Amino acid sequence: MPPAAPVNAEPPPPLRVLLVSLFHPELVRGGAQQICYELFEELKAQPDVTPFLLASIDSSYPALQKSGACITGFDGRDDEFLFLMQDYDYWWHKSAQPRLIEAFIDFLHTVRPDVVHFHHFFTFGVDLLTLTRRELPDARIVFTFHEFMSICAADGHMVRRTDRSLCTRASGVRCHQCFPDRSPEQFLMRRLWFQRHLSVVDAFSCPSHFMLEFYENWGLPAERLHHVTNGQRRYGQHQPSPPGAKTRFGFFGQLVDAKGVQIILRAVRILRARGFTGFTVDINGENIKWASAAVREEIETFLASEAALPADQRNVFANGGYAIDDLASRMARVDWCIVPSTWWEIFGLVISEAWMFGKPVICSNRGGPGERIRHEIDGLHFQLGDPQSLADTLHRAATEDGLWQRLRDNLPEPPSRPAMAAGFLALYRAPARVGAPA
Amino acid sequence: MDSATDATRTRLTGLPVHAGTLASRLGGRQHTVALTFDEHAYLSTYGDASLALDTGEFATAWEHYEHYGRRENRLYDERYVRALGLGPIAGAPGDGAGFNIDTVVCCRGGTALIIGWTDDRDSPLHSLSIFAGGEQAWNTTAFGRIKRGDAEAALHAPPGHLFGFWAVATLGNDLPAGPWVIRARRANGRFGQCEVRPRVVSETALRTIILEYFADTEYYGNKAIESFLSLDAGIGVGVVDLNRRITQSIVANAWVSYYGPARGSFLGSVIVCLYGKPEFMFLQLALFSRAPRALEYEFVYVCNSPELTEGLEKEARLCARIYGFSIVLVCLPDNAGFGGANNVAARFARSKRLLITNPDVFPRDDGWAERHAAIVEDAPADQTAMFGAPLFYDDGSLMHHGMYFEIDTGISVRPDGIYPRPMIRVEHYAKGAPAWSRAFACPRPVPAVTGAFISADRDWFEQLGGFNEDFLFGHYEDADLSLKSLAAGRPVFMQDLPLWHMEGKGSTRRAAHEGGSQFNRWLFTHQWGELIAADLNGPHPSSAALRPPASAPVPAFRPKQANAPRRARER
Repeated sequence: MPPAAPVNAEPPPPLRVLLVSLFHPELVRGGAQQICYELFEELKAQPDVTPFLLASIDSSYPALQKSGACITGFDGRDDEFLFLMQDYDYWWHKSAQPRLIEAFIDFLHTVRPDVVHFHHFFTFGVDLLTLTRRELPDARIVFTFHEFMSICAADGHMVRRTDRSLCTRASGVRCHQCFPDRSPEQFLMRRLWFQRHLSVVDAFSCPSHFMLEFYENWGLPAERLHHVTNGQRRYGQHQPSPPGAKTRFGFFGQLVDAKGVQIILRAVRILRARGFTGFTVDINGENIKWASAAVREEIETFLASEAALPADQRNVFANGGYAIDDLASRMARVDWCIVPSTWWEIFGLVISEAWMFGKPVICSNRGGPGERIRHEIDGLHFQLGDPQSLADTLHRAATEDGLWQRLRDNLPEPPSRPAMAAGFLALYRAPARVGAPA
Repeated sequence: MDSATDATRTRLTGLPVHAGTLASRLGGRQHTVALTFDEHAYLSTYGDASLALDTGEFATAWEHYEHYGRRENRLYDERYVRALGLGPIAGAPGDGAGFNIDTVVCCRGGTALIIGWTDDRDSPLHSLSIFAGGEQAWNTTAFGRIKRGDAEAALHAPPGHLFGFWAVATLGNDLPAGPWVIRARRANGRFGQCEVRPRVVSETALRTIILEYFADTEYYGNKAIESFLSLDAGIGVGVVDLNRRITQSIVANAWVSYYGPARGSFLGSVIVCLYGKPEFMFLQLALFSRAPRALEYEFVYVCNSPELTEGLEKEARLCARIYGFSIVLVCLPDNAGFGGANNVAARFARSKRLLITNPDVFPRDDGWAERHAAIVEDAPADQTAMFGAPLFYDDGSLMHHGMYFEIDTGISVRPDGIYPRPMIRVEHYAKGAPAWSRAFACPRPVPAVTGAFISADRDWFEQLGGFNEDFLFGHYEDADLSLKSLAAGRPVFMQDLPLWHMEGKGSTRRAAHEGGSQFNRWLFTHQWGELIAADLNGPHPSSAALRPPASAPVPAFRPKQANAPRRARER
């Protein structure tokens, strides 16, 4: 039995946690930064934790750059700081700016965190992990993977550039095939480089279970890999649905290749060709500028021709981008959410949002969506990247009596913010790793 | 020894091993001489001068030259040149020969590249005379012959004759700026001449031009052997002279800076020569830093690419902070070559152990630092004076487990005969073998180790004179150093310190480097041909110095499939 705590003992000092975030979600939207900020908010509510946020920003926000500064405050908020990224090497993922490194060192010693939790290395530099270990040898370093950028140079998507198929493992030759101008040797060096810096991390987290296996196969020690779900505050409730057939489908996400909106449009064409037109698809999202030229042209051409149709002949409606506050009204227009990602989609925040609003999800059958959505129980799978398979699924969803209600009745609660924070706090407070290398 | 090797040895007889200047090693022949005043030649050429001395008009031949001869350019007269013993013996001098000079490029240091062609099918080119600005003159036989398709076309000549020529002549400092007259003299005494205005470039630019030209030259027959013959003719000596001047000038202007913690002593100094690719500094430091005791080694980076200097200075600052290494950065104002750069870097090393390492070499295990220290401390001194390590390709197979030598024989067929010529080739043991291969063991002595990784006792390295700076850019310096060590009584060893080697990825390769590689092979053959032919030829050299230590279990060498037929013939 452990000895009893002495009466009137001083409570331990609050755990000082520095969250290092890829971008600030109020400056650049994205899942990684949104989750990091949700965690920051939740940790602020914990009485025994003092969190700090250091979020990066690049040259896309010149108004926030301050001459001579490398790290600044953010909009007058307590404990929120901006890391003003400069001279970033997008291949090796490191900064070439000594001033920035010196500023980061000073910041670490000013904040004196017990835990440094990196939500990505992108825009900071993966070598800051090693630097953090050197400067704070006793601090616990936690790293959350938001995709596979350590493993895969193709934006971390693990989608083969040769044929757009999903990739299951990186190797010198396979990666060279995706990047013919780079030799296989360069990919060994890349792997050694990333693994060297990740070696100083005490605990890794992934929001999906399938990711753990990928990283273990890549060479990270299994005992340091943990599953911690992404969690969000609850900003929606189940919405009623009009009686009758459930024929209203919605897409929520960025209009880029990997999110797969083009697969929906192809499925719509197939359904029309079959003579089935009794459905609608709402497209909610933006950032088509980041799509490949071919996909961008496909989407824009479809939407333009759709807009030219008489109103009663349209199936697809482009509603543009949205903020979280807009979600309730956008969700009210649909019965189903489609998540047609053509990459592994490591978690899919939109799935959690769909569940908040009581919308069953039709999703690709691989990766995070494939793991989270239970086919025929709380949603439907279709073959990833296959518009024919999606068309079949949409037709069934719109026509099969009782299907929607059955799936909706089984929708789980979306992972909560406190649940996520509890998962990370367990990692923060785990016993220190002995002999962690610098 | 088998008959094939005996034959090779015979051909190599007469090549002294590593002694004296290169010129003396190549037979002591002066390929380029100044056309200066010689009293005997002057009087024997010019009867009027001899008569003037007899009549007492002038007291000396020099006075006559000063009064008449200089004004009349008598030192450049063909008869005078022949009196000096520089012209052809047969025939009478006369003007008229198909001949042209395409270009002359020279540098302030006094080396000139001359490129031209001549129709010498009836009487071969004998020598070239260079009359520079009417003030100085030289005669040279340092020229090689090359294929010139354009001349063949212009002359409607059938293929087979080498109309082109190129010369590299070492003339002297302060070359006159005025127009030069180049005279091409044939064996029958006939000559042609052209006036040209030389293009003056820096010494390094001239070296690049020469090597690029050398790499692109075309011949009839085996290019390697024909290019060797060009270098034999005297071009090789000229290139070595030029390269030495360049290297000395570059290393004399090294700029050195220090980063990271200052320590009292180091287990070793990892010396890395960078060229063209700065990212290997941070990659190496990141990967080498992971091992226990790694920080007891310092890193000395020497940069042969001046354009990288500022970026490397930044990276060195960053790396010292991130990884905690003590770093010495030696920046050079130009490319001093692998040998020159590593030698100057060694001077700034602060330990007794030098680890010469390529930028694309990385530790395969996290225990490299302790393992290296243990080898140096525990192994017999004669096995660690200089040693290499097994290197692995990115695919996991072996890239290097020591090096051995093969002698190729090229044949040059000329109108006047057939000339065989040996050429030394360096091969790696185990190249491409699986990592689990048990055909190779450590420790074991080998003929040579690659410069991608050499661990050397500093005193021994200095005693050997470091790397030979006559070699251009890179290639063969490692084999040369290994053989110097062997010749001095300590063969290089392989020790068990596994490393990655991304061979060829750590530097930028340019056209001039191809010419440099050909040149180095030629130089290496001259330097070590006799010793290699004696008892170092092939993967199983008979040299007693290379017998494995009694305690080491060394299995028989298991050849790769591709080499099997050749070995079968040797048996």
